[in-house]
Amino acid sequence: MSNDAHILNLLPAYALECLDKDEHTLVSEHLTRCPACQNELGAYLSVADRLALAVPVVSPVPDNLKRQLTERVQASSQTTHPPSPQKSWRHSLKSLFVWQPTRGWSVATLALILVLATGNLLLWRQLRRSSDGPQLRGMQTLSLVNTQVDADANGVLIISSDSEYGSLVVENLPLLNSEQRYQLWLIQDKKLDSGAIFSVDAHGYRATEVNAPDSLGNYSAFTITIEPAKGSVQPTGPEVLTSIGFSLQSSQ
Amino acid sequence: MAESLGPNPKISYYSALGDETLIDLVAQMNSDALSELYDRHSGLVFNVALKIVNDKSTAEEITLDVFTRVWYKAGTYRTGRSKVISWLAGITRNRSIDVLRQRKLPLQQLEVTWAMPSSDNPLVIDGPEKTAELAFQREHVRRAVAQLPDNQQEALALAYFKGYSHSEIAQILDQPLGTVKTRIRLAMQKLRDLLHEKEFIN
Repeated sequence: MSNDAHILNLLPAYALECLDKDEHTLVSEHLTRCPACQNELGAYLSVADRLALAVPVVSPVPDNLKRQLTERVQASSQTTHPPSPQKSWRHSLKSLFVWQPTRGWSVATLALILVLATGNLLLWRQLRRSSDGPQLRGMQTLSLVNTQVDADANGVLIISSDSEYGSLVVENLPLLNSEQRYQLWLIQDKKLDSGAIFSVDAHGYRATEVNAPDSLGNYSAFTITIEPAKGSVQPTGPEVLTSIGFSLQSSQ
Repeated sequence: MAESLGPNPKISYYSALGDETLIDLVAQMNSDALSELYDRHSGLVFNVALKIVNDKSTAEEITLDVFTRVWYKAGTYRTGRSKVISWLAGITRNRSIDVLRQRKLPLQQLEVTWAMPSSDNPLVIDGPEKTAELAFQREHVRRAVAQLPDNQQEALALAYFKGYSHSEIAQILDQPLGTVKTRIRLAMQKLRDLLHEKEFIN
């Protein structure tokens, strides 16, 4: 049996998280470089997600539980979520999304997005999921999907209309130790340029400027890997987020 | 959508909203939306936790933890991967199995008690479901599981409800490792085909 066929047979159990340790490691490593298996795994994860629906619901939930939840929520709201003037922030940022920036405004717009995104994770999430968009007029957005980390990890590259400037926003990436950083790679054919070196906060969140030696429009793919704290000349660590359809392994 | 129609004084704005809209509102710190989600799905969350940990007070604590996590992490829910109820069930299962592993109990057999399908109308609302849609989904999953041979249901239950590995399941059932691997693989493949056919997989 070929290795790929063997991995395919292990995917159902991987989705259930019942593989023995050595096989779990084998499949995890394989998934970092095999989009086909990632896709196949998605179907089995959906099955695993639904199995709970077959659990018989026979025991009533104790009445006092909701009151306890309410108390927890109220306590957290008072300490960490004061009434916020986010509405004005949201309005300000949203106005950018319907504004047609000229070349001269591209830098300022991206800088403002960075400032707002850096200061307000909740706002960023709201905007990403808002029914309007994000419809960044005059800008390109490129989603980065996760390869092996937390299933909720994701990223977005925002590139100005003239492709000269870019911002990267990531969330739910795992915290790294002090000797490691994430590094953004910009790929053009087989040539890789470093675009950013960054760490993330406790929410796995970071917004950062992209520094490219060439016009961002000349790059065909983007990927983020884990590297030493000072960065690397070439990717050395595992890929964590990548533009759809791309993987370092298959490109080499 | 709310299944109760007519002059019910308890119908509120939130009870008419879909789960994903409620999650969006929870992400904006709307406690009424969280309350509605709790009313809809706490029954399933509690019973999944109870099924796994087999202890009511622990299951209560897990239920509280799950909805507290929803309060803080609603923004991490991703439309398209799974429905909200499945997302909740996944959080519940993971939390429950973590609790089980902390106890470091010896391997133990489990009586397979996947819920049986309703004998007649699949839209019979048999529990705390507030919507016919949820009852419909549950019935389809039950019917799919019921089509599996008993030995596959058994292996699947040990993997799903106890978080046991292939080797552990083989030891509990006193079966060859290869047999257990095959049963779980075939069970999941069958369920994938059945549930995909019913367009429940995105």
